[in-house]
Amino acid sequence: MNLLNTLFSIFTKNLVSIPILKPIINKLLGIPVIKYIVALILWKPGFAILIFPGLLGLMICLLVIIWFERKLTAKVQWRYGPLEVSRPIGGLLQPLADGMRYFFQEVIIHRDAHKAYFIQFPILSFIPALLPILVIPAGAIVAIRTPYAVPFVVAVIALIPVIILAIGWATNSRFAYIGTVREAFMYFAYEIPLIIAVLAMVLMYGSTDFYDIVQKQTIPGAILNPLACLVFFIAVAMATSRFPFEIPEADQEIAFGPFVEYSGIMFGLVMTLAYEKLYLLCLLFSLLFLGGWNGPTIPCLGDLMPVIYLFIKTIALMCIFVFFRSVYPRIRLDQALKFGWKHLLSISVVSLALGIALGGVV
Amino acid sequence: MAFRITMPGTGLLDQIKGHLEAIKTGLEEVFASNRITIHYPKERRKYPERFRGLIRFDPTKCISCFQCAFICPANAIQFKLAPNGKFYPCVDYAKCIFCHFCVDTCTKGAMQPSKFHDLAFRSLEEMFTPTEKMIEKPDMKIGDVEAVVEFVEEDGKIKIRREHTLYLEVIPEEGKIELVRHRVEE
Repeated sequence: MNLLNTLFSIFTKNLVSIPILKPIINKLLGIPVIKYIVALILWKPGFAILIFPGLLGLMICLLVIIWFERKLTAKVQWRYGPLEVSRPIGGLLQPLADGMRYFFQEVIIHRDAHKAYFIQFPILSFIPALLPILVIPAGAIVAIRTPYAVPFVVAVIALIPVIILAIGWATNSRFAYIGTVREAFMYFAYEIPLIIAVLAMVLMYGSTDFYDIVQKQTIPGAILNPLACLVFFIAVAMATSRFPFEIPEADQEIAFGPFVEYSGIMFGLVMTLAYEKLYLLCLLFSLLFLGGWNGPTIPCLGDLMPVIYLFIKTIALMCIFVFFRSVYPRIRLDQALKFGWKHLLSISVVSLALGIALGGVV
Repeated sequence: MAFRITMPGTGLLDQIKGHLEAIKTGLEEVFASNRITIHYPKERRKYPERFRGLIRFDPTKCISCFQCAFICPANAIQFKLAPNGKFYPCVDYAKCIFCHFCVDTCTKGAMQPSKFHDLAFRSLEEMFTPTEKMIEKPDMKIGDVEAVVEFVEEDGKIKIRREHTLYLEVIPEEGKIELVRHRVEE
């Protein structure tokens, strides 16, 4: 009981302040048992992990963006897309229904699989997918504040393809092999330009702390260094296997590539991996290039305002990325590699020079 | 509408133009989508006037001339002796190809067409439809239908047009439909 009270006092010292909800929060903090839960959720690091940019934000993004992708593609192709699950709201609950179905489906482990690794890699994939959330801030809300946030985020995100390669090896099937090799090729084609583009922005702002970066963006970074923005944008499309670079998991050719043998909830986990990566990279994109949580001030929202701005920017970016599915075909692996190594790398080097040149000005 | 397909340019500007055009087309479809899906049980297509569906039979007009059984290319029509001493046709829908030759050839117009086409049978034996069932009106739950849909062409584009109605015309009016035999009689 003493420990609980100590924790409660620690939590209440560092609460998210939302002036418009203040009476409700104060009332909730007076109720015996609920007050601990409310204090934990509204404690700033707790809010960052549980609400935004943490679990709830990620969950909403996943559900909405998968629905939105199917719906938008259907609309462009003169269809309706998912509709029957919840007709009044346009089938918005379809991803949830799919998730339920995955939960109760049998997980088949085929004979050739390296069994232990086959089961554990989809679960291990959550480590690189969720760790960057710890250091990504939204205004005053951050779990761990560190001056090395940007390199940490980029480094941990770069681990996700390693997990995918490991999944492909553990699956031990020919489609998975082809998909894994494609993923490996693509990894080298996009990762270097992506890191150079981030480096250009970091050198321009002269800091790897998100607070400094956002503070210096009175003009958004996309206007200051459009080349780095372009490179990062295309590299994100390649990294999350969006069209036209949906080469590793091309489901018409090699049936989801490295994930071909997964079924049930395991497939649900690996399928959302690309979307989790998209979420993280869109957060990084909006922080580096779109001014992060900068926006017109609304005093009554308090600490919630940066959260809302960052969330809107992230989800708008994700919508743009999934829109490409409906307009682009899938290009060949050699075309993508040529594009990545030749054009993307050279533009990223130019953007790096631009970033260094602008470094003293910004 | 003849047009010549030219090879797209490979220069940088041409490529950027191509990308922008693709995105423009996509955005146009997002904001002014031309959906042509029919929500089938709730919406039905407006069937054409001479749609060949389920065959209906009027025993008061039948003179048992056997013409329908003669003309049937699939050999789907069999005659059976009725209690009143006359022979009446039965259609086996397992064999029927819905050519409506029997409707066309019927001299007295006892065989009549209908637009009812979405049939369902529980067994193969049930597909052999005796005369008594051909006399009945086709059983159809019309309450589900919310709209009748037809495709129309406007400005070179296929568009979908919905008429919200509870009435779906399944059985055409007698004499309204022109059959081949009418022409022969002329």
